[in-house]
Amino acid sequence: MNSVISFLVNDFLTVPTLLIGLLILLGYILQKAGVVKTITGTISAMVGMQLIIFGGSQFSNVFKPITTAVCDATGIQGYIMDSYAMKAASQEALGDAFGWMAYVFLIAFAVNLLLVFFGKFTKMKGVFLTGNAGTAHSQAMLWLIMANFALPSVWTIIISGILVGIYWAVSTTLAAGVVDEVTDGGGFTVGHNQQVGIWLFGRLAPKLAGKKKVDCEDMKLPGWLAIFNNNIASVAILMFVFCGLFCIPLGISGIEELSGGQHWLVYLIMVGIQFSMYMVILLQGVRMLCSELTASFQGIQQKIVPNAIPAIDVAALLPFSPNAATLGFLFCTLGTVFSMAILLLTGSSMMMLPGFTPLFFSGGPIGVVANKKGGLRAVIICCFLLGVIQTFGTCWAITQVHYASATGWSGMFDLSTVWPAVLQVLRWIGSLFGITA
Amino acid sequence: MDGNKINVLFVCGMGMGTSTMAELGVKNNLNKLNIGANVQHTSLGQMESLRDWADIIVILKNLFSEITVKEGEFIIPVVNVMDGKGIAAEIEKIVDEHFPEAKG
Repeated sequence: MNSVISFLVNDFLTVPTLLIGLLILLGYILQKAGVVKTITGTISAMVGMQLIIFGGSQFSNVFKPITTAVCDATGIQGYIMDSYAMKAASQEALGDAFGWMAYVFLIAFAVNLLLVFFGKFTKMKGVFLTGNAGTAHSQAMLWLIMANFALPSVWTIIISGILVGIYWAVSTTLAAGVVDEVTDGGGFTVGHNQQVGIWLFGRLAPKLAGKKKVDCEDMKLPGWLAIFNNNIASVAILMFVFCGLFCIPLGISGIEELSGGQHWLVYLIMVGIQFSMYMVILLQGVRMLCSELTASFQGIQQKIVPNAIPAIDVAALLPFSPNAATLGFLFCTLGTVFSMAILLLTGSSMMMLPGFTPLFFSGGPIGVVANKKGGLRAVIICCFLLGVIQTFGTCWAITQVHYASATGWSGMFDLSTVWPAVLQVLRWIGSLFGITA
Repeated sequence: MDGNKINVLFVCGMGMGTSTMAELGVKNNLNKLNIGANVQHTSLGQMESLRDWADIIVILKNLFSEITVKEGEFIIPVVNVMDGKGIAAEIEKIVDEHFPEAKG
């Protein structure tokens, strides 16, 4: 018997994919899903998990030689601001503990449901249903708590879960009002990575409207901007441009040393293409792991708190104002590039390279909200400001992960403002008890 | 078509959160309407690989301008992804006219 337990604890459950597989299996059994569905669903979730691990590590491997070379040449450490860079970095940092994120996720969902169930007292209404962002939050919070506090693993997991659950309930409820306004009573709120930003800019935008409110939807935008709606092309182009710029200090000879003799331009083009390829692998993995998860969580929500507001992926806002979404992306990018210039000019030891997700999925939706509440002028100011806040906020968050070789951090609004702020406060509290790492 | 089922593809920016929510809501409502359907979701960038499979494509309105509708293709641009009932009703119209065998 002892050898069976020892096999389970020491061999089986230390493999993240097997731990996740076991939890998914339990989920199917509890739902009485039938033998075929239980077996196929469990295995495909495990394959998805393995794709995520593979895609994430390869994503990091494309970037590591570049950032190492630039760091050796200039002393500047580069980080990618993107949800997928954070996924890649946190699963690398967590190692065998990566599978624990499933416990964090489950605790967080339970805390979220509980807060909404007692909504009479807590005023909470939103239930977080976005599996793809939820897993990212779970592993990122686990990483932060482990890196900052010396706690037994059970407490690390419980505290991470509670923090994520509170964040889900509070942030989705905050955003509910303005999302309802933007969508003309669409019946949902946003559960992603920038809900607090949506609430904040929703309040700020009316003050920035100016004398004449111009609606972005009355404008005609140049057609080529539509390229950036395509995730595959967008990632390749952005990573080619920003990695190319980042490599300038190496000079052509330095880049060709890095590429092992390949022409510098060919190398940089392939860097862009490879980032996009590994994102496709990650996406496929997340899709295999999370689609069923979203379905069953929605089922649980409808059973336990039927009157709650479902909090869903932020892209749901974009169709309500396509032009504002594109302009939001554009000005968020400008704000980010401006901040990168400031980092360079002030001799910062860090440089942030923006990925697709924070530009498109923060810039776009905040653009939609700003347009509704304040028109074009508000879109320009809010989204530029958003880019600035996200860039410097990510610098802040990076100092908290205590992992110099991390590929990057999310770069989304909430994870570069609310999260590091809460962690800072927790560190102060922790230091009173002598448990900060 | 796959036997007596129509194939419906949901497309959003990354092919994860938003298209999943649309898929769930629409699938429920298609069941209520007795329409047999296979569903999948994907991103705009990966859409081409599933385009032949799909009988009907449901796509976020902001992404609709980027695709050229081919002959014989049915594409529904969507504003509110949580409006499963409304989207299912539009699918029903197409089914009644072009895929009557999917209705059981």
